[in-house]
Amino acid sequence: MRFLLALTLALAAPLALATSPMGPVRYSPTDGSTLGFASSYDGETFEGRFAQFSADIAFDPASAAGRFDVVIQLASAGTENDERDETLLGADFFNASAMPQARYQAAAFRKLADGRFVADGTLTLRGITQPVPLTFRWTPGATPTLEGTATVKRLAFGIGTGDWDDTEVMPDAVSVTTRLVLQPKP
Amino acid sequence: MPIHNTTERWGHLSIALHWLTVVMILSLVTVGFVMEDLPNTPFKRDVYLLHKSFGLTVLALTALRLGWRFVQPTPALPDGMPAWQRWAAHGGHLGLYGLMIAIPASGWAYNWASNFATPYFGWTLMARAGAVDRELKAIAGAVHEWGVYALLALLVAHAGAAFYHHYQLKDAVLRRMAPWLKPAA
Repeated sequence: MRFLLALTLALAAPLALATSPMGPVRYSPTDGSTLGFASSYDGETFEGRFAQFSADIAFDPASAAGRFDVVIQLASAGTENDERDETLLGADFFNASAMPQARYQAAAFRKLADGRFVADGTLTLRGITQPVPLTFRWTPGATPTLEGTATVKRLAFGIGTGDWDDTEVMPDAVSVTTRLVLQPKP
Repeated sequence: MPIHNTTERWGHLSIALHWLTVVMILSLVTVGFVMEDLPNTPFKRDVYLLHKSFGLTVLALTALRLGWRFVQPTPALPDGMPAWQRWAAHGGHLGLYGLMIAIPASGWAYNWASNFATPYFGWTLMARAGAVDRELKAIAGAVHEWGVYALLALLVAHAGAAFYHHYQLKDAVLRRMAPWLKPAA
C-alpha cells in the first residue's frame, strides 16, 4: 500500500511541475542573441546594439502563456560611432550613468492570425514605465528562437528632449529588433 | 588688370583665390579651436558640418590655385633678393601649399575614420565607412591638429615677410597681391 502511494507520488511529481505557476520551461539567451534599435538623424539612418542584456524567458506557444523579464545594460549601447555613442549615453538621452538599466517585463500574451504572438509588456526606461507591445515569432524546439520587433516612442521616455526633441530631425518612433536563441535554464 | 598673371604682377583669379582662402582659413582655425568645447546640442553638429564643408572648399580651391599656378607665369621675386631669402620664400610657399592640402585632407580622413559620412553644405559627398577605424582616427587627428600649429607659424612668417617687403624694402611684393594698397611712405 505504502509502495503504491510512493509510486503515485513519484509519477505525479513531474505532472505537478508542468502545471506549476511557472508552467512553461524557462530559458535564457545564448551568445548569438541580439537586441538592437534603429533610428535616423537628419535623414541618415543608424543602427545600434546592446552588447549586454539578460533575459528570463518562459513561453508556451500552445497556451500563449508565459513571462518575459529582460534587463538591459544601457552603457553597452553601440552605434558604430564614438561621438554618437557618447551623446546617446549622456544626460540628454539614456542618462546611463544615473539610470544604468532598462527593463522589459511581460506576463500577458495574445496570438495573432499569422501564427505570431504579441507580448503586452511594459518598458521601464530612464525612470519611466510605459506599455510597449512586442510582436514576435516563436520557433519551438530544444533551443527555441524568439524573433521580435517593437516600436518605442522616445519622447514618452524623455529620450532626446529639450534641444533634441525635433521629430523632423530625429523621429519619435524608434524601432527595436531582437533575436534570441534560447537555451533552457539549468 | 586682367585675369592672367604676368611676371610683374598677379592676375584677378590668383588674387581672388588667395584672399578667399585667407578668410576661410582664419575662420576655420578659429571655429576649429572652439567647436570641440561647445555643449552637445544639434547646433554643435551644425557647426561641425559647416567646418567640414568649408574645409573641403579650401581643399578644392587650393587644388584649383595650384593648377592655375602651373599653367601661368608667376611674378618674379625682386631683383637683388639674397639667396637665403629666395629659399625661404620658395620653402615657405611650398609649406603653405602642402599644409593647405594636408590639413583638410587629414580632417576628411579623421571624419571618415570616425564613421561619419562626408558632408558638403547639405549634400553627402561620400557615404560613411561602416565602422570606426581608431588607428586612422588617431593619426589623422594628430596630423590635422599639428598641421594647424605649423600653418599658424608659417602664416606669421608669411605675413611678416610681406610687411617687411612693403614697409622696410618698400617694394611691390605685397601690392602685387593686394593692389588696393598704396606704396608705403
